[in-house]
Formats: sequence, structure tokens, C-alpha cells
Amino acid sequence: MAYAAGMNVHADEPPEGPAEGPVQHDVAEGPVQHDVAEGPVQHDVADGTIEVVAPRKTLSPEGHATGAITHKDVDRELPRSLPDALQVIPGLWIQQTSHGQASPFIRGVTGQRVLILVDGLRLNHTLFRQGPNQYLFTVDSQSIDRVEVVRGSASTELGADALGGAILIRPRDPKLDPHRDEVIWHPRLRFRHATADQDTGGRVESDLQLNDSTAVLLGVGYREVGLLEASGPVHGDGGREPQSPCFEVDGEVRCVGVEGQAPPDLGPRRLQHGTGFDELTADLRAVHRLDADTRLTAAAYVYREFDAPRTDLCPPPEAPSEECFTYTEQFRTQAYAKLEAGPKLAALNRLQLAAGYQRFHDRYSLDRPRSSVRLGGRDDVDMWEASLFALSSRHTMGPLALEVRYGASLTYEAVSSAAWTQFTSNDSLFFGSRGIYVDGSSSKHGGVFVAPTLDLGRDLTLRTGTRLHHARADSPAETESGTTAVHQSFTSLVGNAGLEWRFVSPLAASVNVEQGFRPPNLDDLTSRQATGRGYQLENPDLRAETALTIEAGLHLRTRRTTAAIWAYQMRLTDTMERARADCPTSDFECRANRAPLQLVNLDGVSTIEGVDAEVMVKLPYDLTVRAFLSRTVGEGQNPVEGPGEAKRVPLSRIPPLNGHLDLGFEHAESGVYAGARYAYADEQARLSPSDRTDVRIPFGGTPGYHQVKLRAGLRIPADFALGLVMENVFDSSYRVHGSGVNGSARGLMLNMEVMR
Amino acid sequence: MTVRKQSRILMPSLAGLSLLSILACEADDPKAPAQGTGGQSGDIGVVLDGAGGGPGDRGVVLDGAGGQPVDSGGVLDGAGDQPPPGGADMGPLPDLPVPPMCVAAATDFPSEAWGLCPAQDGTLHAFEPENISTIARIDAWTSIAELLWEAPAAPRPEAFGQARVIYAQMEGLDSRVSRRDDRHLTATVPEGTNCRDAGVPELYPEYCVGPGRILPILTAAFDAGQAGVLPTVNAARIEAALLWFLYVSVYKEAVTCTTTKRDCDSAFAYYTGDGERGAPEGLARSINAASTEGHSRTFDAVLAVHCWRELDAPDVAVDLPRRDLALAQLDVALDFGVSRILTSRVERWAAANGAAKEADWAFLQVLGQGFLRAIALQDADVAIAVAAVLGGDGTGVLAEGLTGPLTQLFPCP
Repeated sequence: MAYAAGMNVHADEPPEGPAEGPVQHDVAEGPVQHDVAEGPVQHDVADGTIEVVAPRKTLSPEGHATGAITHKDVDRELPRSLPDALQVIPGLWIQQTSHGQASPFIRGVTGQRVLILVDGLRLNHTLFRQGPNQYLFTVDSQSIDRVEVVRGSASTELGADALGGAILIRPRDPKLDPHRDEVIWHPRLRFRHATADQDTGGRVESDLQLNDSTAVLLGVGYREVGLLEASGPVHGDGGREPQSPCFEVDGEVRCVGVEGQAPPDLGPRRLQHGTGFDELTADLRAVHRLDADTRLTAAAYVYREFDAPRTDLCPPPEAPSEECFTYTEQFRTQAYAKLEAGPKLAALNRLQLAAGYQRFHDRYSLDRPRSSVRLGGRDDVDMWEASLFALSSRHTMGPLALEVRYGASLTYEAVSSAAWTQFTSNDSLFFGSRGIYVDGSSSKHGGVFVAPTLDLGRDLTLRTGTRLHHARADSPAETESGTTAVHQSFTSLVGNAGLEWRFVSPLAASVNVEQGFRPPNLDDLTSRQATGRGYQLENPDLRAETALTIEAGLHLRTRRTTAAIWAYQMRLTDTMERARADCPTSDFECRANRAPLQLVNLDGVSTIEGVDAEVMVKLPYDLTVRAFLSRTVGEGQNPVEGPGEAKRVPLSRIPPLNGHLDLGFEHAESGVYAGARYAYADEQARLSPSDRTDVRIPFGGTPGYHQVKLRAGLRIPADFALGLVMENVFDSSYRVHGSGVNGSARGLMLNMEVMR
Repeated sequence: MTVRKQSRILMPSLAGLSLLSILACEADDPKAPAQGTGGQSGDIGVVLDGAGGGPGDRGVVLDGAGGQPVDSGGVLDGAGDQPPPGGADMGPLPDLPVPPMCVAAATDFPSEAWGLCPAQDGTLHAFEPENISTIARIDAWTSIAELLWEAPAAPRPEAFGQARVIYAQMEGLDSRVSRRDDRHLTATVPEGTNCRDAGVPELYPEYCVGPGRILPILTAAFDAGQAGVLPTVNAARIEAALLWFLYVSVYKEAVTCTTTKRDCDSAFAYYTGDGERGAPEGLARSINAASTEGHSRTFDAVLAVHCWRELDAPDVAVDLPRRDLALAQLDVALDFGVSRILTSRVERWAAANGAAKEADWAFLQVLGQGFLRAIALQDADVAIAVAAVLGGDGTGVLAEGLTGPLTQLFPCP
């Protein structure tokens, strides 16, 4: 287990001793992440083999609260997905609408308000929905080397959407030893099984060094995941149950009604209907080292998820139990090239330049066999993007030292969308005039930033920065559905400032002020879709939402202890929130829905406040204790106006008070490891108006829970690995607030690997 | 290190990845059918099968009589056939006056006995005026009517296709038909019976009237209409099936308003959309066409339901005697209204010939089936006799043989 606490990680500073100079916290025990070349560094890779590559320095904005996981954590925790792996990071909350989907919340926000970058390129695309989405799930946890989470707005350096924070994904590199000019092959075969959902699959991997400068990592994985067993339903006020999920009892689907009353005499309900999926992954990553400071990377990632039901719509509330909304295809394809270099010029000491293509493809179907109806659709977005991150040399002048980070990014996205109605009784087919989106829509956005860091002597560091960003959204009119054309441009200028004071070793304090922004995307401006809360109608007149985050942190770092506490307040202006909509007369689907909705910019200011506290202590006998506690409160203007309505209400799906306590043992020589993690979440009864009608949220709020997870295993580098995890040791029923599925029942997870 | 050795390892890997990419291609969008037919239904006829029809069979099912197939020929392929006259050409339905001896009961709404409630002004005061999604379903019904049975000519296959798309829209009519139960029959099924559950409609088709009875008729009629088979007949079946659905839905929503107030809004909307008394939609339009007085009384009855809930304000109703009073008034009014629809259709059928006559008979068979419960409640023997008549193809049936019992059993609204 190696989640990082405190602030962002630097590659060139080992995690030893009290802080000297700018605070560089890293409790990560896995490989250190760095993205801009800075000179040769040696470090251990996940399986213990020595890897020598051109090192890189993190591209995450400095001075923020961060946490990280590494491939090593994935190997030990055996998560079901990459989002699942991130649960151990303080301040992160993973909501699951479905078994095959998961959405990360950072400081109470998710979806479009969290930026995800893969190797510096945006995973966020213009069809990201308001609220949770499934796209982080499309990154294979087996393909990552490290994931770093930046908590708090980071728009200045990372760009649009990073209101609540950012997730920076660094894929695994092939092993490359520049001192050996020979073919070196490291194959790896992995098998995995989990009892709670009969998740069975594996991965074949070939890590091939071709010579002293080129190496290729190729992996192919597949798994079939069955119905997820829970310990039973969760209960809200008055013992009532949420409508999602339904359960399978003796092979039959059993659902509760709108009143939340379970059918009588059902017996135990554990198998969650509307779960399970199949998954195929493949990745290819080639690294070519030009010299000690320069390397080229070419990479391709293929993610294919098949037949993943959306649990809260399987069946939709009150619908016949045979009905099910399923993502029959949820694909991501990405290919890019990246140059990392260290010109060592005054203005350009290091750089990372990346350019690539990415395609997201969703195909879905709502099957209504009773009526011989199948409502289908497809949404695709093709992205072309380029990004540059650069770092100047460090210029010193007496006690002052200046370093400047700067960069630019450019993205073009094209959308294709269609929807149709099929009648299976006679194989007839009718295409709608538009899909969820308007076919032929496009989005362009880009920006430049500069972020100087000034060290004022040994004890003070001043950070600042500014970004200019421009976005444009275009969508043609569609007359039959009454859709108007959209031609909108959004320009934002944001900045940040932060001060870090190392007032007494080993303590330091930080204060940051950061502006964030998010221009509306094509989903906000043009989508018409059924959501978990109603039918969402487009709003072509939305404005960009902005955030001002003020945070203060206190950090402690000694040889054995790392601790940090951050308090923050985010003030959102022009917050985009769903409010009741007037449906166009021509849109039957909108008018037939009980809750026609539309994103609007709320008046006034929405606030999200909270505290994250974390600590890690290295104990004798190879033991490590880690703990965190996170508390978030959010409120904003009530989008519902009228007599009896409060002016301000809680924001939607804000996570409850939650925390982890983890005790780990790891014996480096033998490769034996073991650990136990206790997870806690308080009840969340502070619900927004839309939360109260959300079938994923129990009546009156989501009950709190206590969970214990055990892990143990043996990992012998270049030989084999065996890992076991027991989840939900006490087999208690629980649900992560906002999720459509309950947590898994007590179950075992097994991981076996042979490698060379 | 040799290039050959590199290639031995690298090339199979790359080939494997390429193969994987090919295998993991996106599926094609479904292909649209040939223009005009809307599908490849082939020879889908709608069959009356009173003897052996099980709940799972497609087609119209009438219990209690040895039904005969009534459709013959009449296939429109959408290319060159001259369609028979549409619903609009079938002639108006006669407006049947209410007998003069009919007097509203003292307990009927509106009256002083009901006390002061907003509905006393004769209009709807919705509990959630912004949230009556049923209105859209009634608008969908109107759109389907214009495409099918109110079209100036017999509907072509494309019209059936368009109508079916409207019918099948998310949260549309189909979403409710496929789960609708008949709350008159709650006592006939085990407690907790839920028509959502797979297999339950087959077990209790009368209670789960939507999926058990109405849906098979609609599916078969849409299939046939899309295939160009007997367009006016199948349009009439769809009209009758949807009226049947609205008929049971008004009552169902009125009952469930006991625990969910907004269902009273839905009861009103299932009766007449967002229409005012003078501008009826949906079921109200059909009842009004057959009996203006019948419509007026049913309108009062849905307002009675609303008045009950306006006076009985808690989230879960407590004044159940008043509710039962409202439901009884609604039941009588609805039954009268539907009996008038049937009666006027019988009279039109008697005067019609050709395709129009076949269409009216198909209408009577379907809606008549939906009305057997109400008839049986008044006189079980009459219900059996009516079922037997409707199970036939109409040959030799005298209009009076049907209108007589209907008028007799449902004399007043």
C-alpha cells in the first residue's frame, strides 16, 4: 500500500528525513512518478526489477494536496477497476451507478468538474455528463504505473474542468536498461478470480527490451464478470429500500416499488440484478531512448466493455422487471506519441510534448421484451489533442530562486450520435431525427499557462500562475426535434497564488488561492437524455461556471511520520445544476417524464467546504499505519423556487464523513505482505432536492457503514506472485452514497501471476 | 542481439494486438428496412381464438366463445393499393342521450355534501401542476389517433410505424400499458402481486390487464398494420386497446392516489389530458363523442376524486369513506361512458359495410372484452352472452342484441 499523503511528489527528492527547502512529501513506496526529463535516475519497478529510464518530474501543479497509488497497490489490493483502486486515496470518494461504471468525487464534485489526464492528455471529453460518468472505468488498472490525485482546483496549470481536482494517470512503461544492448524479455501471465461477482480473467503481458534504447510493453487482458453479490438490501427511513438495485431470487428478478416496500416472503436477497459485464483490454507502449535526457514514447490503449447494464435502469423504476438499459459497447481507443526532453536551456530546462487521438464509443439499448421494443442509440466522440508542459531552469539570485512552469494545450472533438427504435416482433426499425446529441457537433478548446515558483530563502516558497483558455462549441440545428443551433464561445482567464512556509522543521504550512473554470460542453449545451433523476433537456444558453478555492494546509514530515491536514472552501459561481425544465411541445419523451430537467446557471454562490486529514507512521517490524478522515459539506441556491422551498439546500451527492485506517506489513526480503483496512462512512442525510427523488439514494439518506478488508500475499520478483483479499469480512450490507449498487458481500479475491 | 530474434517476439505480439483490434470493432448501427413496409412482418394476421388462446399467445383473445378469424385479405403493401376509407370516413358516432329518469345521487360530486374544496369550481387544481407527465401520454394518444383511426384515409404501413414509435417512446404509453393492473381485481390475486415481475401477467392476465390482455392486442395490431394487413381493422383494434388502457388507468390512478397525491392528477389526465370540460382529450373525447352528458358526469367524477384528496390532505389518505364515495362515482360514470362508446359503435357498425364494418366490429371485440368485467359485475349471464357474441365475426348479430344489455345494465352515469 503506497498512497501518498500531503503535497505533490517530486522525483528528485527521496522520501527521507525532515523537509529541507520546499516541502516534497511522498509516502509512496512504489515507483516515483515524474513526467519531465531531468537526468538519469534508477528506481524499482513494480515487480522489483531494476529499471533505468530517462526520469521525469511530476507535471502536477505544485503546492497542492495530493495522493497517489502505484501499480504496486493495484497488485496488492486487487481492485475491480481503476476507480476502485483509488478508494484508498484521502479525499476521494468513488460512486458506482453500476457495477461496470464508477465515478470519482474529489472534494464533493465529480464528472465534468474533475479533470482526468492520461500522460498529460485529456480523458475528459465534450460528452462528459453532469454528475457521475463511467469514463475513468475505461482505463485498465493493469496498465497504470501511477495515479496521482490533486485535490482542489488546478485549472491554472491543468486546464478546464479541474474545479474539484484532477486525476493524473501515468501508464506503465516497459523496462529499459540502457546498459544492456540485448534482447531481454519479461513475459507475465496473470489470473484473477473474485467470488462475489465471479470475476474471472487474466492478462498476458510481454515486456520486451529490443536493445539499449528501445523497449516495448504489450498486454492483453480479458475478464468476464457476473452478478455482484451483496450482503442484502440497504434500508433508509422507516426500513424502506431504494428502488435500485433489484435482486435475483431463485432466478427471478424482484424489485421494490416506489414506496420502498419489499415484496413479502422473498427470503434472502443477495444477487444484484443489472450487474456484470465483459471486458477486453489491450495496450502497447514503446519507448525509444534518444539520449540520457530524451526519449520518445508511442502508446496505444484499447478498452472494450460489453454488456454492462446500468443498474438503476435495469429495470427502470416501476418498469417490468424484464426491462434493462445496457451499454452493449463502451469502448475507448487511444493512441499518442510523447516526447520528453531536457534541453537544459534557461527558458526550457525540461519539456513534455504529447499529441494523440482518442475515441470514445458508447452503444446502448433499453430492451423491453414484453413490448417487443428496443430503444437503441450510439454516441461517439473523436478527439485530437496536443499538450505541452515545460519547465524552465532554476534561476537563483542570492536567496531568491525562480523556476517557471508553462505549457499549452489544444483539443478538437467531433461528435457522432444516433438513436433508433426497433420492434423485435417484426424487425422494423426507425431512426430518430437526432440521438442524445446532434450528429456533427464539434468542440474546440485550448489554452496557455505560465506558473512561476519563487523560493524566498529556505523557508518560504511563493507560487503563482495564470491561464488563458478559449473554448468553442458548435452544433447544427435539428428542426424535427426543435433543436436550435449552438455556436458558443467561452474565454476564461484564471490564476492562482500560493505560499508555503516551512516555519519550523519538520512542519510546514501552506495557503493557496486558486481559480477554476469549466465552460459548458456539448453534453450541457445540446444533450437530450434520460438520466437517473429525470429527462435532461439541452440548454444552449449556459455560461461557464467558475470556482474560487481557498485552502490551507499543515504538513509534518519526519523519517517515520508523514501527516497533513487541509481545510478548504470552494465557492462556485454560475454553478451548473439541474432545474425543472419546460419541455418543447414536440418532445414527447421529455413531456412524458415526471422530472424534465435542464442545466441552468444558479444565481448566487454555491459553497463546498471541508477538511482532509491524513497520517502515515512507519512502525518497527516492517509495519506501517495509515489513516485518513475526510469531511465535506456543500450547499447552494435551491433550483426549485416556490412557497415552502428553502432558499439554500445541500448540493447533490456530497459524500459523508468518511475515513480509512490501514495497518500493513511488508517484508522486503521474502516478498511477504499482509494488511487490514477498516473503512468508515457516516450516514449521509443531507440531500439535495434531486437526491430525494434519486432511486439510487435510500429514503432519507444513505446509512453509514463499517467495512473491513484483509489482504495477504507473496510476491517474488521475476518469478511468481500470489495475492489474496477478503472483502467485507463481516458480510454487512452497505452502499457508497450515490451509488446504484450495493457493496459486495463477503468474498475472496485471488490473484496469481507467473513472470520472468 | 539480432533483428531476427527481436522480430520473433515482437511480430507475433503486434499481430496479436492488430487481431484484437479487429475483433473488438464497434458493431454497425442496425440497418433500416426497405422503404414503405416498415418491416418484414410477413403474414401476421390478428386471430380471435376463444378456445385455445393462452395468455402468451399473440393476437386478440376472447374467453368464453369459439372465436373465428375475422380478417381476410386486405393486405396493403404501401406501394399501389388504394386504401379503404379511414376512420374519418366511417361516419360520426351517434351521441346517445341520457335517459331523463337519470338523476345524480345525493352523494355525488359536486354537491354541498362534499364540503368546500377547490374542485368545486369545476376545474382541475392539480397537486403538482408542473409534473403531470400523463398529459404527454394523452397527447401521444391524440397523435396516434390522427395517424390511424382519425386519418382521412386508411392508414398506410408507414403511419403504423410512426404511430408505434410514438407509442413506444420512453415513458410513453407502452411503458404504462406494459405494467398496468386493474385495481378492481386486487382482491382476486395474492397480496403483493406485482405485474412488473416476470411471469406474473401470464398468471394473472385479468389483474395484470396491461401486459396480460392489452399489450398482445397492440403488438399484433401494430405488426399487422406495419405489414399492410387490414389497416382500418388494425387501426380500430389499436384505438380500442388504448381506450381500454385509459379506462383502467383512470381508476387505477384514482386508487393509488390514496398514497401518492399526484396520482389524482394522473387520474384526471388519463381521462382528459389537460383538457377543460369543453375540450376533452383521450378517453374523454371518445366518451364525449358518444354521450356529452356521459362525459360531463365522468368529468365530475374525476373532480370528485380530486376533491376527496384536497380535503384529505395527509400524504397517505385517511378519509377512506370519502375516497370510496369518489371511487364509486367514478366507477359508475366511467362504466356508463364506456358503455356509451360501445353502444354508439354498435349502431355505427350496424349501419356500415365493407372495411368500415369490419373495423367497427374489431373495435367492439377489443373494447368489449375490456368491458366484460363491468358487465359481469352487473349480470354474469349477460357477460357470458356478450362474450359469445363478440367472439364471433358479427355475422347474424343484431345491434339490439348488444345495445340492449348495455343500455339496460348501465342506464345512468
